Amino acid sequence: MISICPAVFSKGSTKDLARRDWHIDNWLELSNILNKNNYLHNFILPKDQDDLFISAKASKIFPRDIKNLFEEIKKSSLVVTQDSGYMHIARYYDVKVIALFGPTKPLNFALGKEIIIKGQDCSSIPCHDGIAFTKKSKKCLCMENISVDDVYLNILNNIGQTNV
Amino acid sequence: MINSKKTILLLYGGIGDTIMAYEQFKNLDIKLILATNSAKEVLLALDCNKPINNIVLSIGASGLYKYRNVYEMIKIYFYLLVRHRGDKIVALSFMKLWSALPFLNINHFPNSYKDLPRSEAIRRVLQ
Repeated sequence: MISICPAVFSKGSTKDLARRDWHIDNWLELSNILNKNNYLHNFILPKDQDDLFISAKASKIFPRDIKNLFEEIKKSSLVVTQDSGYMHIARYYDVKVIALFGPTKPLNFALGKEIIIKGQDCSSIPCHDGIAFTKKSKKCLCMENISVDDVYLNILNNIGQTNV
Repeated sequence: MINSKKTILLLYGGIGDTIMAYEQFKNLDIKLILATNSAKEVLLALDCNKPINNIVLSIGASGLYKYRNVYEMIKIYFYLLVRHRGDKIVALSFMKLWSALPFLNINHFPNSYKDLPRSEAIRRVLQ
C-alpha cells in the first residue's frame, strides 16, 4: 500500500516548519491521479487535519499515538512525504520513502536511503542554513517548484507499473 | 571504575531528530535521558530501554514561550548541576545558551556542524 503522509503544518509546531510544506492541493491532486490509475493508497495524518483533506477519495488513517504511527508506516510499501518525521520513520524501518525537499537540504536531514525530490532553489536562498530557517525564507517558494507529475512519475518508477 | 564519566542526554527535538539520535546512542552507555514528552514517546516507540526523565523545552520557541524556555533551561541546568555534576552532558541541539551557563560543560553542536549531516553531528558530539 502506498501511504501519503503530507506532514503539513499542524497546531503546536514551530510556524517556520510550514515552509517545508507541499501545498495541500498538490497532495489531493496526487491522490486523484493515483485513483484514476487504480493505485491503491491511503493518507496517514493527524485527526485534526481531516478537514484539510476532506475531499480526498482515499482511506485515511489517523494514528492514535506515536507508537501506532510507527506501526502504520511499517505496514506501507511506499511512503510519500516531505522532509519530516514520517520520512525518518520510514527510513528507520527500511520502508521505501519518496521525500520532497524544498528549503531544507537533503545533505543535512536525509541519510541516503530516501528517494529525494528536491524543488529548485527559489530566489530567497539560503532558505535554511542547516540550523534554522533564515529571515529570507519568509518568501520561500522552493516547494512550489515540485510538480505533481514529478512526484507521480517517481511513484511509478518505484512501484513498477503493476497496480498495488 | 569509580567516578567514571557517564553520559546524560538532553533530547527535545522532533520525531526525525529523536530517531537519528537513537540510532547513534542505542549502543552507548547512557546513564539518563532528559526528554520532552514527544521525544520520550518516540523513544518508547523505538523500544528504547534507557532511563528517561521528562523535561519541558521546545525548539524554535517564539514570543513568551522564549522566556518560558529560558526558565526551563535554567531549571534543567540546576538539576544537572546538583545531581549530575561530573557526568558528560550532551544537548543534541545548536542552542547557544547551554555554553553560556557556567560550572557545567554542556556539550552541544557548534555552529560549524550546520553543514554536516545531522546524524554525523550527533555522532561527533556523543564521542
